[in-house]
Amino acid sequence: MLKRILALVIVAATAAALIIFAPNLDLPIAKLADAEELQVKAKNLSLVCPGAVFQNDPNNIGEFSQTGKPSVSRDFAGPAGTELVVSDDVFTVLDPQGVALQGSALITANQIQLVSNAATNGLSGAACQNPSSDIWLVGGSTSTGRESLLILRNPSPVDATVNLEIFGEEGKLQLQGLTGIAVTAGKTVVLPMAGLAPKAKTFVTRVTSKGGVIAAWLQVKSVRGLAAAGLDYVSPSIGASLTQVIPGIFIRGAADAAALAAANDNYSDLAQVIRVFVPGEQEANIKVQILGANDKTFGTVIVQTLKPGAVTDISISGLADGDYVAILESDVPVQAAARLSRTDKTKVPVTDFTWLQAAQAIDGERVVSIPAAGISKLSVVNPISAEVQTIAVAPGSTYRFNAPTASLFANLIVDIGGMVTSIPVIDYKNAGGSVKVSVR
Amino acid sequence: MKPFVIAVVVCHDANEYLAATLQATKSQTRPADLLVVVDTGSDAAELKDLAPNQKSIRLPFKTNLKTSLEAAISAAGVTEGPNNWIWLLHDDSAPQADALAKLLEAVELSPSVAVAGPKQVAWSDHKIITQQGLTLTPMGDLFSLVHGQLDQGQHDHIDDVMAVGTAGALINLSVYEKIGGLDKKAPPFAADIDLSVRVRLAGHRVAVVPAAKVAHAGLSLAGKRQRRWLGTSPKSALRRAAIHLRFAYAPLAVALIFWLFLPLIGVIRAIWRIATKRPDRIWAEISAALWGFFTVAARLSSRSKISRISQTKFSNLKSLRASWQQVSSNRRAQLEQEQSRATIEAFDRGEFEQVEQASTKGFLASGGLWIMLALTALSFSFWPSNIAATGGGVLPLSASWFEVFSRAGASFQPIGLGYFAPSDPFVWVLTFLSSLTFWAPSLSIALLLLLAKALAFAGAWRAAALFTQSSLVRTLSALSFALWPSIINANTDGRLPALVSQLALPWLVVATARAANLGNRSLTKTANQTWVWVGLAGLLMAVIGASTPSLLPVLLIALALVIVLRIRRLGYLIWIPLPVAALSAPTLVFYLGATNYLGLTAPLAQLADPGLSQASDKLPTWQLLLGGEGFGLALPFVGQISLWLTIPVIALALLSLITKRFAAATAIWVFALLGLASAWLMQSVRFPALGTGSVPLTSQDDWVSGSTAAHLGLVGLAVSLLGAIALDQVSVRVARTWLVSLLIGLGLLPTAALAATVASPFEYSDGRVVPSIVAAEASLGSQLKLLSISPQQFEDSSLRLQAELISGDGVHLEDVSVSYRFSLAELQNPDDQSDELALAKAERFAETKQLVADLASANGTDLNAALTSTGVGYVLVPNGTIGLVNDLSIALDSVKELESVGSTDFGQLWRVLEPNKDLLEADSNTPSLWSITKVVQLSILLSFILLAIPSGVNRRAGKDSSIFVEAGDDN
Repeated sequence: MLKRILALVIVAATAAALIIFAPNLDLPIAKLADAEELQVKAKNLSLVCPGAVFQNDPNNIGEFSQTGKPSVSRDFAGPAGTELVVSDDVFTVLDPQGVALQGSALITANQIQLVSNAATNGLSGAACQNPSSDIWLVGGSTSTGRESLLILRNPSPVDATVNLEIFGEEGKLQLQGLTGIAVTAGKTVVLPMAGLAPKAKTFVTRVTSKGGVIAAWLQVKSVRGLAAAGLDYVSPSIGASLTQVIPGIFIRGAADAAALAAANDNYSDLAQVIRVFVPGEQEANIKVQILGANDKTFGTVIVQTLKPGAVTDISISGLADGDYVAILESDVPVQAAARLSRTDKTKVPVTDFTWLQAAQAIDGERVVSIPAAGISKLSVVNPISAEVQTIAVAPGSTYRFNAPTASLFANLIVDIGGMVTSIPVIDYKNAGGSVKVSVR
Repeated sequence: MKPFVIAVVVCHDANEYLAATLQATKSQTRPADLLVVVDTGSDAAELKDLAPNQKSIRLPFKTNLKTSLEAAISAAGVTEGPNNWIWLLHDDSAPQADALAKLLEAVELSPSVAVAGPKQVAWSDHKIITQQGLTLTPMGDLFSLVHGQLDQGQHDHIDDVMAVGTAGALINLSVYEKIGGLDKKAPPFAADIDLSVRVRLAGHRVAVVPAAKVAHAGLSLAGKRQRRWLGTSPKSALRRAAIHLRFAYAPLAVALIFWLFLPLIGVIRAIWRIATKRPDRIWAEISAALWGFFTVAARLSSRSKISRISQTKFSNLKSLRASWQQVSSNRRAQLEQEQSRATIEAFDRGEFEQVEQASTKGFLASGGLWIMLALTALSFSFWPSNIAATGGGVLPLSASWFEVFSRAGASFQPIGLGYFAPSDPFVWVLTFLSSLTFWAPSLSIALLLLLAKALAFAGAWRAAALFTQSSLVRTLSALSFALWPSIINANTDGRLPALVSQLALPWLVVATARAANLGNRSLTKTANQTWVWVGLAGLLMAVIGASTPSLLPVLLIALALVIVLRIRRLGYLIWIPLPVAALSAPTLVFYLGATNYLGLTAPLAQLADPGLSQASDKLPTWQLLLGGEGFGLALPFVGQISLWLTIPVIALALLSLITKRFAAATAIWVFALLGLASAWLMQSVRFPALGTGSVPLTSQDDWVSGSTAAHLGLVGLAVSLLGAIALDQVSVRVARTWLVSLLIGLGLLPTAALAATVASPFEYSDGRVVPSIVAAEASLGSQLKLLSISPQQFEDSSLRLQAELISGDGVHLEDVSVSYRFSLAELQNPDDQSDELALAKAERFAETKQLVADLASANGTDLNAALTSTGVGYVLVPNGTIGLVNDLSIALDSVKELESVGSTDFGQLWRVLEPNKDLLEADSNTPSLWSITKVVQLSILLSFILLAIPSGVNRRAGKDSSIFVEAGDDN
């Protein structure tokens, strides 16, 4: 029996020792095939402008044709070995050796077009954009008297298939005809949003493409009663983030607007609006600060909780004329844009508006090409120090931000005879440089 | 006329026997007229007291029997005479006192007898007949008419025989001279028969004289003489003799055909020797056949001498040959002898009662099949809805069994850019497994996943039968093993190698125990049966060693211990590791040759789990003892309850240590702890994870630690068997009832319930692994590769593109190579910068990487050159994280060298517009699937399969003619 108990004790003790004292070893065998970091030449940077403004073709009902000619200003500064190719408002920097550093310093372009006819009246402006496969457009309306045309331009040599998603006040809209929109290589397709989402006052459009990459804008215009009153492009949003900065809310004619709005229902939307989209499934608690540029312009603060997956228009009223910026902070990433309206009652009521997109941070060199016509002003803000500046720039010149120490945000506001438009100050570059690749 | 007898004693280094022989010869009742001792030994034999009529001559060492005999005759100086006789004696053949007298009496009575042989009896026991006349079987093998029988005068009627052995034979001198004496070309064992047959053909008789007895030690046959005497081993010598006789006596045409086919016949006979469990004869068959093939001239030259003296035809001697019936009854007798010897040995060890009392219920009678059915029902979620399972570590196999087979043991593998290294031993397991459902190879894996628990139960039941007679205890013990967490986890994770290994483990225990004669009811009576178990154990060890190489060291230690316990069975047990050695050797050699880049730990690479790399969690050691990772339901505080359900079995296992059989229990516990320690060691080792077919891992470091499942299965088996010992030994009825109900209530039932709730991760498909269009093109002979690119984003938001070059019809399970994982770093960045071949290959890897980067950035670079040189025909982006895949798809869409094919079951596919034409139209000129390694591995495996197939003696009665050496234990 003693032997048996001894056996039991020894086995139990060994097991216990193994359990308690077994150290935590780590013994790697052989070495790994490292994923190699490769330097890849970026795709040639190509900026695509929307071209002339589209209007209903008087000869073909349901068709759209272009009217007038935009004035394009650009600035190209490529190193030796690069070459700018321009064809049909597409600016491509050929860079066979990949020597150029992409960004606005290499090529920047924008267009403005003043249209003044019976159907359309207003100043439109847009930065020329680098085509992409996923574009968010924050802005637009299809309610009575408001027209939104989705302009899809495929500059690539490959046919693209475009799918749309439209989000409204109540969330994603379940609509027909949003998928499988063919955009042939090199062609432009114009889609009236009213046909897709009729009578929608507020929406955000997501454009995704398969096949080729595309450039997309919403061309929006207002008709008040019988008078065409306002035109602009909605440019792509910079994407969702916790903080969105919208410079360039230059309010003029606030008193006129209030008077007009009180007198005529057609003018009810002259107030400044901030449109916020909350992607995802979590509601957003946002705080919008409106900062004035000087002591005379008092801003305001709006705090609101927004529905997830939906678009909300926040009306900002009671601001006196002056230069403002909006700084939006949220607890979940959001996208934002502002509609700036201009009213001048003195000349047989003139109204125009522009969609100001939340600006991209400027933390390096940034070049803006100033249009040759009109009065151009840069609205610049440093959201940390809350320093707001309005910089007047000479027409036809080139403005450079030379690597500011703090992140700045800016929009360019162009004014021609009371008509207004905005041009995003944006930097386009194609991913290149280092890619990690492992092959097995 | 009085006969004149010259006794010739040919002596060759057997001094201890020679003295007795000489003494016996000298003290004959009718002494020989002249005694000549011919000494061809290496040292001169000590010959004393030579009388005047006794001579001694010394001849060189290499002198053969014929020369020795003729030298003796000439030394005797006796001329031919009708009544002159030679009495030929070997140095180990001592005649009884009246032997010569009886022989002479016989030849006087029948003058036609020219050669008279004595009854040869055993040296140590004169009651045992070792030989009484020789003949040939219908197959042409040598056959001793009587062998190893107790002499009760039952064979004393034998008279005329075809031949007699030369030891103690009385040969008429004039006939001897007439037929030209012994044939010096004949190999040793053929010489006797050859001489007698020629005597017969010359018209004389050859007879056995049962009354004359010679004690013959049979040193040559027993292999106790120096090898040089026979020139080969006794077994080969016997076969050589048979071959020589065939050449000498068959009709010329038959002899020539025989010669042409001799090597083939040798191989076939070797295979047949394996099938009849005589693996010790393999070499003899093959070497003798080659010997016969190359010395055919000498064999045929004997024919002229024969035809010169022949007065009758060889075929007329047919009546003197052994009949089939004689052969088979002889064989049965051998077997009976062997069985009775084993029984006597068991009796000596005191195991006889245990063996004979067995009246317990068998597997079927104790409801085993019903329990297997119930366990299968628990696995209902693994029901295969199609032929091929995918998920966890399981991939489909090729649609054709030959594809699977072609990859086993191959030294070139069409993976990546083409890889020269031995394929995994595990592919042999897959080949074997898939041969069970050869029409749909993948189905075997799907079925294995379904039947895993049932198969584990069946195996463990037999293993438990080694320890207990009670069918209840066996069933409970087997259930504890079948529901051990490591088996359930390996099943649900799809760890195929670990699962196969665990299912084979109990069978290996049974087979080894039987081969070693250990445990209850495991008395293996004959060599024939033992070889069956050795064959089975060898195959099972190969299966386990190939599936989970990390378990092999533990198994080898266990085998070594068994050998120590049963040292007398070394001759059998030593062969068990042969197949696993043959399967593992090529990869081990490969790793040892790779120390320059694998470092000193290179041999440890052998331990890596084959198959797809699967991440395993590192567990605390106590959890390893409890069976590993938990599964199923989790509760607050206790965590997953499955973790605790093995405690009853472990408690029983500890209890077994204080029973009467504590010694056996301690030994099994040692293995359990060894398994535990090796599991701990295994989870401490990390191996590279990325290789053929590996799924992108979620973490950024591409390592996987070793899988402990098979080790834990070993622990589980040991503990279950210990539980069986404990329950078996508890004799108090009440206590036993309590223990059984605790085990069932707290352990088995809840585990079964949990096991039934585990969901299967497998998806079942028709077994394709690439889009049909790619498979179709591959089947038409295209050698273009499919480039699969998976974008992968890590927590730190860094992005990586994982690309894999896929050849042919995609990565099947048999294409997966472990060594490729270890070699990848070296292939892409060779250590040896002077090796141009390696550098060229690395260059192609770099080119592929650049191609992937360019494709993903779609930067407009001209890619045609790179696509042509890497041989990419299709690009696939497997389904994965939507955003990442979308971005990559957009990029690929805008690459002008590609054309979108659309989305397939496996992801988005693009076709290269202008692929490498040479490769596209290359008709599949795949390198030969055969290599020397493969042939060796296959022949060893097939030999063991043949060994493992039982060959019932009674069924095959009469087909065997092996008679001379029935070496039982000592081969």
